Amino acid sequence: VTRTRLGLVAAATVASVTTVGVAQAQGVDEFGTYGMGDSQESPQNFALELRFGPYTPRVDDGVPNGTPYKDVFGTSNRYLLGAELDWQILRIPKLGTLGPGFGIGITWASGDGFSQSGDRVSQESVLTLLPMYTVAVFRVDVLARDLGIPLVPYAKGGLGFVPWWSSDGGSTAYDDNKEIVARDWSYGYQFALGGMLQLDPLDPGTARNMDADTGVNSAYVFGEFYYSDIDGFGDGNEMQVGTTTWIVGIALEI
Amino acid sequence: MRVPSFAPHATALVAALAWSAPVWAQTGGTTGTGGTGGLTGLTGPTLSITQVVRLAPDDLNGDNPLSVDRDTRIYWVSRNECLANQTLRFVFSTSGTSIDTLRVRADAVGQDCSSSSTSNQSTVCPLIYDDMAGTGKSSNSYYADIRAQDIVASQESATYNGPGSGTTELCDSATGQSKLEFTFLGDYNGTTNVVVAVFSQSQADTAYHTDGVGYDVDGPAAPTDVSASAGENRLLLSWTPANDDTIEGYRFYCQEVTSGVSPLMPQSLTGSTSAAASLEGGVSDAAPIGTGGLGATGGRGATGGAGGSLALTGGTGAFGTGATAGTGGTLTSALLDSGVTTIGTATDAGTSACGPTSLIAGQAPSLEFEAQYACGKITGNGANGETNKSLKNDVPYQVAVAAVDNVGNVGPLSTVQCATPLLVDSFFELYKRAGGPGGGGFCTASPGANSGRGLLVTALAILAGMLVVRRRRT
Repeated sequence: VTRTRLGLVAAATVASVTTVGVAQAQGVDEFGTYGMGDSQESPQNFALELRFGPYTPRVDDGVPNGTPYKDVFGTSNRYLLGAELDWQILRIPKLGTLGPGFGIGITWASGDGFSQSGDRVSQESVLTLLPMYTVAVFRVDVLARDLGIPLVPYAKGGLGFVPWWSSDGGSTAYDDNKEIVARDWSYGYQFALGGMLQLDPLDPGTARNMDADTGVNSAYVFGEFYYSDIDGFGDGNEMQVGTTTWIVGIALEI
Repeated sequence: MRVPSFAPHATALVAALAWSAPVWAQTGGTTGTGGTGGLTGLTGPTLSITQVVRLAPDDLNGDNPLSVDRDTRIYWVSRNECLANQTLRFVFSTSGTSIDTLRVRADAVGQDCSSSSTSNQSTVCPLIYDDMAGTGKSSNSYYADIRAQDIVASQESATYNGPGSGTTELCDSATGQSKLEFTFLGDYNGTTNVVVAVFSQSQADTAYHTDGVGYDVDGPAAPTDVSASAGENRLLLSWTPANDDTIEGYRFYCQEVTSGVSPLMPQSLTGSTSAAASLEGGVSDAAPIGTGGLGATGGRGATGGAGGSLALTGGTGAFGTGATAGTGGTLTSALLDSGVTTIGTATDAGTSACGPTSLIAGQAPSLEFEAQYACGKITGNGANGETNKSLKNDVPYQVAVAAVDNVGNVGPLSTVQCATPLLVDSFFELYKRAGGPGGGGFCTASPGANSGRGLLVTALAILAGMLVVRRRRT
C-alpha cells in the first residue's frame, strides 16, 4: 500500500464525517461489477489491517508461585500496535471470503526492579513481546455486497507464536544464576470475532476514485474480540503470553 | 588560497597529501588529489611558488579513523592526541624535480609564512617540523611526521622552542582552538625556503573546500544536575545535558570510596577543605603558609590553596589547607635544607560529599585517569545512562560525568555523586524464582520438553503446503 493510498484512505475517512452519502453496496462478483454505475471495480485479493488495542499478557497465570508480572509491571494497560495481511484466496459465492492471514505486532511493559529489602530501584526491567500469528480468516461480506448493509462480520482462528525478551537495565536479563537468558518464544492458539464497518457508502464517489486510482476496493473500521492462549499448548515449558482483549483498527481490501 | 607569485612553469609537481600516522594506528592513509594550478617550474633559483594541496573529500572518512569536521573539512587535533604525543604524517611527492630538505611552519590561516625567519623561536609562523637531513625523503616522495604536541604548543605556549619542545604539560594547560595553515618549505637548487605547499583551510577557496588542520583541546562544559542511584553492579546516572551541538556523548568515571585517592588529575585541583597533607619527613614546628599548601613527596592529602614558597629554615612547615589545591610551589634552598626534596604538584586529591576522591569536579581527565576510572559511556547528547556492570555491590562509589565533543575532547568532570550498587531483582529473576517456565534463548529445544514446537512447525508446514496446492490449482 503506497503512501498515496493511505492518504486517500485518510481523506475518504475524513470526508465521510461531513459527507454522508447514500448507503450503497459496491463490488465485483462472478457476474461483474455492481453498485458503481458504469465504473468497474478492480480485482480484490487481499485485506490489510492496522491494529491497535490493549495487551496485557497473562504471564502470572503460568507461574506457580507469585505474581512477578504484576509485581514489577503493575496492572495498568499496555498496548499493542500491529498489522495483518490476509490473502482472500477463496470466494464463497453469496457468503464471503476465506483465506490465510499473517499478523505481527509489538508490545512491551516496563517497571523498576526491587532491592533485597523490597524497595523499588530505578533499574528498569522491560518485557517485550512480538506477537505473530497465522490464522484462517473468514469474512462474511454478503451483507455489504448484496444487501446494502455495510457490515462485514468475520472470524479468525489459528496459531500464534510470540518471541519475547526481557531486559534488565540496559542489557539482557538472566535468572539468578545467570544461566537462563531472558529470551524465548511461546506458541499456542488464538481466535477473534469481529465486525467491520464499510466506509465506502459514506462517500461512494471518493471510494470509486480511490479504487480506480489506487486499487483499494473498500475501506473499513473494525473492532474485534481477541483471545489467545500462548503457553505451548499447556506443556508447562513456555511463558504464558496470551491475552484476552479487544482490538480496533482500519482495514483495506485491495 | 595563496596565489603563485610566479607564472607556472612546465614541470608539474604533483603534490599529494595523505594522512599516515602510525601512532594513530592508521595504515598509511589514502592519497589525495593534487591541487589546482600545480606547482610548476622548479627550474630557477628565484622560484617561489605556492601550492595549496587538497585532500580529496573521501580521504578522511571511510576506514580512516581520524575524525574530521565534515562541514569545514578540518582535521582537529584533540587534547588526548596531544597528551598521547601522537604524530600527524603528511605525505607528498614531486615529479620532475626534488627538494633537499623539508621544514613546516604553522600559523593561523592567512598568515604568510613563506618569508618568515627560520628561527625556531619565532612567534610568527613557528617551526613545527624540521628535516634538514632529509630523513623523510625517498626519491621524490616525502613525508613529514608532525607531533601533535608541537602543533598545539607552537600556538599556545610562549615558551615553545621548535620541533620536539611541545610537552604533555602544554597539552594540559592549553585551552584554545584554532584553524591552522601549514607551510611546507624546502631547499631547492641552492635556494632555501622555497614554498613547496601550503596546507590550509582557506575561506577563499570555497570551490574546493580545502582541507586543513586545526587543534581543539578544550572539551565541552560539565553536565549539571548530576544524580546517581543504585543498580546491580552498576550506577544509574542522570543529568541535565548542555545545549551544545558539539557534544557527541558522555563518559562516566567511578571510584570506590574505600580505594583511597590517587593523584591522577592534572593541573590544579578544586576541592573542599580536607585534612592537612602528610609530609614525608614529618611535620614539626607549625609554620602555616597562609592558605597555600605544598604537597611534599608522598603527600597528597592537602587540597591546599595556591602554592607558594616555603621559606623556612632548618625545619618543615605545616601545610595549609584550603579550598583550592596548589599548583605546586617552588623548591627553595630552605626547603632543601629541611630535608624536603620534592615539591608536590597539583595532583593532590580533593574531597567529595562521600570522602576523599580522585574525581575532581571541573577538571578534565588525563589519559591515566581515563584508564583507571572510566566506567561507562553513552553516545549522543542524552540525559541519562548507566555505568558498565563491573562495579561491586554494597561498595560505595563516587561517580562523575563528563561530556565529549565531536573532536574527542573530554570536558571537565561534573560534581561528584555517591551511590552504592546493590542486588536488584529484575522481572525475569522474580519470574524464574517463582517457578515461571521458558527462557534460554530463541533456539532452545529439547526433546519432550518442547515437543509442542515440532507440532507447531509441522502445522505451519502443512498450512503452507495447502496454500501452494491451492495456488497451483487456480
